[in-house]
Amino acid sequence: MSVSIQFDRVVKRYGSATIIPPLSLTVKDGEFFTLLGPSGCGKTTLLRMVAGFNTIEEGVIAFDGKPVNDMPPAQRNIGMVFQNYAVFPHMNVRRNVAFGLHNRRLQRDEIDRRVDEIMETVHITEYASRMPDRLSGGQQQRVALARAIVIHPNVLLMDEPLSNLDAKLRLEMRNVIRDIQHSLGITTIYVTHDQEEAMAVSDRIAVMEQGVIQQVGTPKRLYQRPVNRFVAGFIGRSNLLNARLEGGSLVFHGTRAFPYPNALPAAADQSVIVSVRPEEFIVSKDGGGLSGKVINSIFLGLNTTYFVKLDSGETVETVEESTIDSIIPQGTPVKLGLKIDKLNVFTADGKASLTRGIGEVAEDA
Amino acid sequence: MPSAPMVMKKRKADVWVIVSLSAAALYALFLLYPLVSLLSKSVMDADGGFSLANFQRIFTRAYYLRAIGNSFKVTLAVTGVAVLLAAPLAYLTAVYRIKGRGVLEILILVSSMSAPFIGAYSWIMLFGRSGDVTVWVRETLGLSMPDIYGFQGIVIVMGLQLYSLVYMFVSGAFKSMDNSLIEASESLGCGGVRKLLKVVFPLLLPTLAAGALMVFMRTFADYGTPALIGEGYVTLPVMVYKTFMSETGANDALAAAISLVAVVTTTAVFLFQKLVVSRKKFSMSALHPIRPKPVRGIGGFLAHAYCYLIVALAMLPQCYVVYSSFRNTSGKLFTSGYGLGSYIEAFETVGRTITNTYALGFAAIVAIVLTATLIAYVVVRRPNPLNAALDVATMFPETVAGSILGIALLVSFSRRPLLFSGTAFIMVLCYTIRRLPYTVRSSSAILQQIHPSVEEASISLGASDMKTFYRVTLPMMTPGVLSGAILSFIMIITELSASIILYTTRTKTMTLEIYSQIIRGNDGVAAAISSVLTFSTIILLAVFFKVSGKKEIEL
Ligand SMILES: Nc1ncnc2c1ncn2[C@@H]1O[C@H](COP(=O)(O)OP(=O)(O)OP(=O)(O)O)[C@@H](O)[C@H]1O
Ligand SMILES: [Mg+2]
Repeated sequence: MSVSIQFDRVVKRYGSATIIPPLSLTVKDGEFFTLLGPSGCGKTTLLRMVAGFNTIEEGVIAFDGKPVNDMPPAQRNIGMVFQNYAVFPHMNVRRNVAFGLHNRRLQRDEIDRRVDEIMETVHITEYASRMPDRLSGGQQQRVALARAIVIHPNVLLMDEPLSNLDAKLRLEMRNVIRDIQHSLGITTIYVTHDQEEAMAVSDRIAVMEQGVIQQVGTPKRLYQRPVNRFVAGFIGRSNLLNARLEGGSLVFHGTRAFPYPNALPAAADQSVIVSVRPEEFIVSKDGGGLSGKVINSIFLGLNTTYFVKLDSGETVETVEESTIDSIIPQGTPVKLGLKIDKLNVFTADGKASLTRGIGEVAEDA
Repeated sequence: MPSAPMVMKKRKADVWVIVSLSAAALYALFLLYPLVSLLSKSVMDADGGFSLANFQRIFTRAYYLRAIGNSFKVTLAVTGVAVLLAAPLAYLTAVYRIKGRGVLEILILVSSMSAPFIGAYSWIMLFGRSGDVTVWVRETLGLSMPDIYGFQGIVIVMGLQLYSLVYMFVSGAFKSMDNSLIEASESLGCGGVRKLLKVVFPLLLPTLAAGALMVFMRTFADYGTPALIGEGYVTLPVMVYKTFMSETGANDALAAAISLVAVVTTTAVFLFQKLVVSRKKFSMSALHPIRPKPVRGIGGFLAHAYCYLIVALAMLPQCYVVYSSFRNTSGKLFTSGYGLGSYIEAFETVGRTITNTYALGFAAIVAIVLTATLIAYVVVRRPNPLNAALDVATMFPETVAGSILGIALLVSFSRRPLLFSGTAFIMVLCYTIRRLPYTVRSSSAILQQIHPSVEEASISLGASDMKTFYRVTLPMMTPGVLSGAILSFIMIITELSASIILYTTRTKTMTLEIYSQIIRGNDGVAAAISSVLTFSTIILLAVFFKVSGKKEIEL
C-alpha cells in the first residue's frame, strides 16, 4: 500500500547553516517524483529527512496526512536504494533480498515466495546464491532494488541509484526502474542531478537550487514553460538573449520587433532575457529574423548543430534536422527565425517569467 | 496538508545514547573512581584532612627525588637508544633490498610482543653476576665483565625491546611515502644526505615522534625490568610498588603521591602526542611506494650486518630462554645435557597457571570484544562530546603504569559492597581496562572503511539499531575486531605489572609464576614457562596474520 507524502514548511539546519529553508510540497500516491538539482542543493538531505535518517528542524513531513517526524526509520516502511548499492557484503543475494522480510516476521514460505517473485522481476534469479563481491555493478543495483521493493514499502526512496553505472547500463537500468515502479505503483522519490534521466523516468520533477524548490511539474511543462532562467538553463539547453519587451513585442539588438502574444498582459515595457532552445530557431539563408554568421557546425546524423554569432555579438546554438543538402559552411551569413509560441521570456534578473501559462500549471507545489 | 501540530524536535532515546551512557558509567566506576580515590589519597593526612605533606616528603627527600630522576634518566636513555637503533634499521630496510627482510620483520614483531622482564631475566642469566657468559669469561679468560645491573641494564633490555615499536612506526611511514617525493628532491638537485635531512627526515618526524613517545610511556610505566635488573636503581613504578606493598607499614598515601607524579607525567606525554604530534602527521598515500634497491659491495655488507646484528641482539634473550628451558637441571641449577625436565616440572607443579592465564585471558577478551566494538561504534558513528570523552577514556589506561592501576583497583574494591579484591573478576577487569585500546583502535579503523549506507539500508528494511549492529555492522567488522582482539590477548598474557598487585594464589598466571620462579632462582621452570608464553605469542601472531591478511601490525 503506497501513500502520498506531504511536506509542510519543512526546514533543515546543520548548526547555524540553513540547508533547506521552509519547503512545502506534496507527492501524490503512486507517483514517480524526482528531485533534480545541481550538486549540493540539498536533494540527499531532503530525501534522508523522508527516510528518517536526518532530523527535521521545523515543519512536518506526513505520510497520508499522518506526521512521521518522530517515527524511527525502521518503522516508516520505506524502501531505500543507495548510490553505492549498500548491498550487505556478507550475505548472498537471496539473503540480502529476504533481509527486510525476516524483520517483518513473515512465514518462511511467504518469504520464499515473495523473494522468488521479485528476483524474477528484476532478473537476478540466477545469481540467488552468489555473494555480492562476485556481482557486477548493475547486478548489485538490481539486488538493492529488489531488496527495497520486496517489503512492499509505502515509499521508495532512491538517491542517485544509477550514477555509479556506465552509460549503457544507466539507460537500461532506468527503464527497469521505471517499469517496475509503474507496475507496482509505489510512491517513489528519486534523486538525480542528471536532467535527462529525470525527464525519462519521472511523472513529475521538482527542480531545486540551494534548498529551494524552483518549480514542480511534468517533464514536458518544465521543458516548455520554465518559471525562471535557472530552470530554463538546467532542463535542456537554452540560449539566453538580451532583448526589450516593448508594447507586447520583443525587440532584439538592432532588429525589428517580434510580436509576442504570450507575454503576461500586466508586463510593463522592460529589459528581458529571452530563452530560446536550439530547436526553436529556424535557420535560413534569406528568411526573416536575427542575422548572424555560422562560426561552427557539428553533424550529428539526425540533426546538425550550428553555432551562430549574431550581429549583437552573442553566440547561439541551433539545431536543425539534417538535410540531404550540404552543411552550411563556416562564415555564411544566416537569418535565424524564431518559433515565437515556444519562446520563454524572463525578467532581466532571470528570477521570474513574463510568459503566459506558467501560473496555470503551478501544480499544488 | 496536515495542520502543523506541535512537533517534538527530538526522536525517542536512541539506543546508542544508552550504550554511550552505560560505557561512560562503567568507565566512571572502574577507571575514574579507582584512580581518583587512589590519587586523592595523596593529598590527605592520616585523618582524611587536606595535606601536602606527602608531596613535601617526595620533593625534599633525596630518596624519592632520586627515583623520579632515575625514571626520567632511564626513560630518556631508552627512548634515545630505541630511536637510534630503529630509525637507521627502518631506513635501510625501506631503501635497500635486505635479504630475509620478511623474517627480520617477524622477529622484530615477536620481540615487541614479549614481556620485557623476561628479557631482563635472560640478560641476567647471560651476563649477570653468575651468568653463563660472565662465568665463562672469568674462568677461561680471567677477565671480569662490566656490570649489567642498574641503569645500563635497564637501558639495554628496554632499548633492545622497544626499538621494535619505533621500527614498526617508522617503517610504516616509509611504506606510505611516495617515491616520487624522493625523486622530486633528487631532480631538484637535492640528493644524498641533504635529501635525507631536508625531505625524508621532516616527513618522518611526526611518526618518529609518535613512536618515541610510545617508547617513553612504556618505559616510564614498566615495573618488571627495573625490579629485576635495576637492583638499587629504583624507578617510580618500583617505588610505588615497594611503598604500597611494604610489609613494614604500607603507606597508601605516599604511594598515591608517587603515583600522581607518574600519572601526571605520562598523561602530559599522552596529551602531547594526541594534541600536538598526531595533528602534525602528514597524510601520505603512496601510489608509487619506495622500491628497495639491491645493494652490493662493502655498503651492502654493512647494511646487512647492521640489520642482522640489531635483530639478533634483540632476539638473543628470547632464544636463550628457550634454549635454557631444554637444559637439564638438578635442584635449581642447570646441569649438562638436554631434556624436557623443566617442562615436566613446570606442568606438574604450576600447570595451573597456564590454564589460569588462558581462562582469565579468555574471559577478558570476551569482555573486551563486547565493549570495544560498541565503543568503537559510538565513537566513529556518533561523534559528540560524550563519545569523544569516551574515546579518551578508553585510550587513557595505556598511559597509566600497570602497577598504579592495579593499586587503584585494589584500594577501591576491597570493601563491601564493591568487594572484588582477590577474585578472578578483578583480574579480568584489570586486563579488560588495560588492553581494550588495541581492540577499540582496530575496530574503529575498520568501521571507518564501512560506508554508513549499508547500516541505513538495514534500518530502512525494518531492522532495529541493535539488530543492524549485530547482523550487519559487526559481521562486516569481524576482521578488524579479530585482529585487535588477538593483539589484546597477547598483551594480556604477557601482562605483569598490574596483575602482580591483584593476584592471589588461585589467580596466578604464567607471567606471575615466571616472575616468582625467577625471584626464587628456579631458572629451569622459569625458562620453561617463559617458552610456553613465547610459543603462545608466536602462534597467536601467526593466527593474526592469517586472520587479518596483513603483513604488518599497526599499534
Ligand atoms: N552532515 C552535514 N553537516 C553539515 N552540512 C551538511 C551535512 N550534510 C550535508 N551538508 C550540506 O548540505 C548541503 C546539501 O547537501 P546534500 O548532500 O543534500 O546535496 P545533494 O543535493 O545531495 O548534492 P549531490 O548531488 O552532490 O549529492 C551541502 O551544502 C552540504 O555541504
Ligand atoms: Mg546527494
